[in-house]
Amino acid sequence: MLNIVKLTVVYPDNTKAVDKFTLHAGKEESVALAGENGAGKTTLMLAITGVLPIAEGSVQVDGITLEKKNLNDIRARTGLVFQNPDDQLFTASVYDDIAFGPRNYGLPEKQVAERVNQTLEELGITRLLGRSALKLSGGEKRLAAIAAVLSMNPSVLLFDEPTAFLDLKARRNLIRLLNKMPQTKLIASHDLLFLEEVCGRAVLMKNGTVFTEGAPADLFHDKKLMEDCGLEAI
Amino acid sequence: MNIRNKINDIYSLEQLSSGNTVIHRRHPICKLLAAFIFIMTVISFDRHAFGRLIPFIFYPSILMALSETPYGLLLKRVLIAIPFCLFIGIPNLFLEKDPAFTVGNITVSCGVLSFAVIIYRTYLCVMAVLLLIAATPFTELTAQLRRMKIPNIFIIMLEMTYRCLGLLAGESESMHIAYALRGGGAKGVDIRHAGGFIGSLLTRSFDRAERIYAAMKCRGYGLSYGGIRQRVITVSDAVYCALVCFLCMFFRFVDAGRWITAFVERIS
Repeated sequence: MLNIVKLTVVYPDNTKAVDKFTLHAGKEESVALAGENGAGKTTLMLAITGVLPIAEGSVQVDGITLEKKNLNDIRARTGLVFQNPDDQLFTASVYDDIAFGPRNYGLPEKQVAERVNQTLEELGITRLLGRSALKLSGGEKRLAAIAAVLSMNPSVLLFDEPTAFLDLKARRNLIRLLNKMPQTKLIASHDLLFLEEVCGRAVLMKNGTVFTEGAPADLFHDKKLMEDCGLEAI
Repeated sequence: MNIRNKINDIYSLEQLSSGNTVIHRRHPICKLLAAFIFIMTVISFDRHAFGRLIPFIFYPSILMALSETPYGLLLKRVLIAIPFCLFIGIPNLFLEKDPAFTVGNITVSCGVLSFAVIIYRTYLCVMAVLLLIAATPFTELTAQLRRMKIPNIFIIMLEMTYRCLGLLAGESESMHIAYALRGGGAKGVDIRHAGGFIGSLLTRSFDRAERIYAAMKCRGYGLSYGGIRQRVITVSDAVYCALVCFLCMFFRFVDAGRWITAFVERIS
């Protein structure tokens, strides 16, 4: 469960990247986040995980408020899948990348191995186990990046442009995969058709704040509304 | 070979660290300590003590066999280090002309002997470090360094340098391809564009490094540096460490080379 109340994030040059953003995502709910480039989607996600400091407002994950003392807990419960999987896969092998999070949280090596194998099996990518992350295809990298986050057993998943770099088949596989995942999901993307298939609710973001929200089918097909938000209707 | 393949080459040794051999299973701190004592003992010898150093080949040979590390992979990396010590050793050939010993009619000078010692010592020490990397995950190594109270700033620098090495090479490859495609068939980067190219490369690398650091933080990096679980040192870990230390001390204080020569002479 994710609860964001009047969240404001200000960059050092005083730009308000996120401005009084409020959102509630219930258990197992998938929420789409759409908005033009620079609307503040990525900044919002980095702020939810405590990577960027919050100027005002609050973030709660499973009832735990994001504070410095709770960072450990919040990051264990929140998995952020980055737009570019190359930013997320930074160790020599897929195994080490997936094991990175559980190891940081102090799990014994036996449990780490179990988590890695379990996650790879869930995603159907056990073949990648011994491979180097540098040698994977775009689709494989995306799945490995998702596995790296899932191995921490988060209850909230944040996806930043998950369909970027994917071909149609990999995109279809990702839709199937996301629809099976029980976690609360917040998915930022420009791919509105993808969002429509995966999410039950959509939030349109403009200038760092909520422009409007509703059912994806209603919002994404409303030409006037989408243009006002700086987007293009389906 | 393109830059991407070279990056794979750099990280290929670390990929071996996820193995499950008797050496991989040893506690990282015992492996770190054993390697440290081995290196310290090797460098403690006199610069002409070639014969005394010969038995020290035991460490890389046994470790390589037990950890199932391919020799070719290690040798390729050792060869990178050798030219550096050649520069240090070559002047000895000309400066130390006193005879050290004679084999048949050939007199070997002290310079040749000390040159050989420098090369051999480098070979042993680099092999010890490479075998440590090949048998221990990088995250575990840095966790042990933290436990040994090495200042955190040095460890973060080590980790980030290691991670960003591949990143810098990857960025430079992408930029080089983009440049070559619009470079009118020019080989390499034109000197007029080199400044801008390097500047952009650095800026892009900083940006990527920042994103990678964010990704690391999102998965628990740097929250509490005791993060990596403290493994218990088992009896076999202690035995491994003690055995290496014992052999190092034995070969340090007992001239095993002379024993072997005497033994060979006696049987012949």
